Amino acid sequence: MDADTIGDIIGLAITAGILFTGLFAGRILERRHVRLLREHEEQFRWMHTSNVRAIPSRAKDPQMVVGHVVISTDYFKTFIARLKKLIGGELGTYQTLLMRARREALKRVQEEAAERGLNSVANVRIEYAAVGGMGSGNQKGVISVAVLASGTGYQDPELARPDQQLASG
Amino acid sequence: MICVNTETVPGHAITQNLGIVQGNTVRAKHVGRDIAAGLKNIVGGELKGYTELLTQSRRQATERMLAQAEQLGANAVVNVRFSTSSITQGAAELYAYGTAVVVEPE
Repeated sequence: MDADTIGDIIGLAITAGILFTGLFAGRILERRHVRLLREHEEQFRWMHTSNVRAIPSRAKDPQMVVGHVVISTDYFKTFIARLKKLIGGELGTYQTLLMRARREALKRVQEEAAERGLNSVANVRIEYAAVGGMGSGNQKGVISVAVLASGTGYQDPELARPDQQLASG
Repeated sequence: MICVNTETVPGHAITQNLGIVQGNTVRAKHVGRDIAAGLKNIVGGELKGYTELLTQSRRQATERMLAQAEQLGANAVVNVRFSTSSITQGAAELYAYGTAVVVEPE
């Protein structure tokens, strides 16, 4: 075996190693993230969140609440998506990435509102920021998506928080 | 200063419209963050460095917008929107804009 072949084999081994790391670690991280998101959504069901513009006039303390997240896909999924692009069709791997990013941004909006002692968020808007790979036209760049969710948080005196509900029975 | 992304402030009446106020910031991520993001891209997940960058940019743009509103004598900014544009590879602009108004409690 000459030096070139050995070099090729090492290169292939490194690529395969990265692919497998992506496959396993990526899958574990993604599942954990989705589980955390589901838990949060369950826990925050009491919070009135909507993208309706109208705020009831009884609302108190209106203020902006914002949530950001930048999230990237794993190497294995990027690889699969690149192959999939040859034949076209639905790119499921990117779909889940986008959904996760949006849910995470919304989660942060709700968390920020709760932190400020508010119980409702109205007029939620979701935007995409151009950071990293997305939109920069760089094929080799990091495939990532940045989501910025914003809304108007307020205190609705007629809506009780679950801790208050618990106290009242 | 009240800052909301709805057209009105609940419980308040808009008495004066002072026009559009805006704030922006263009930021680049440094090379170290790029490398860290590249590594993170193997396993996927949140790129905390970029999230932080975005948070800082948003805060700065909002601050500049509010400073402008204050200069105009406003006490609230309504209908705030954020938008971004990538001006060049590796740098992004975050732009916040809204309408400066004077509100009075009803």
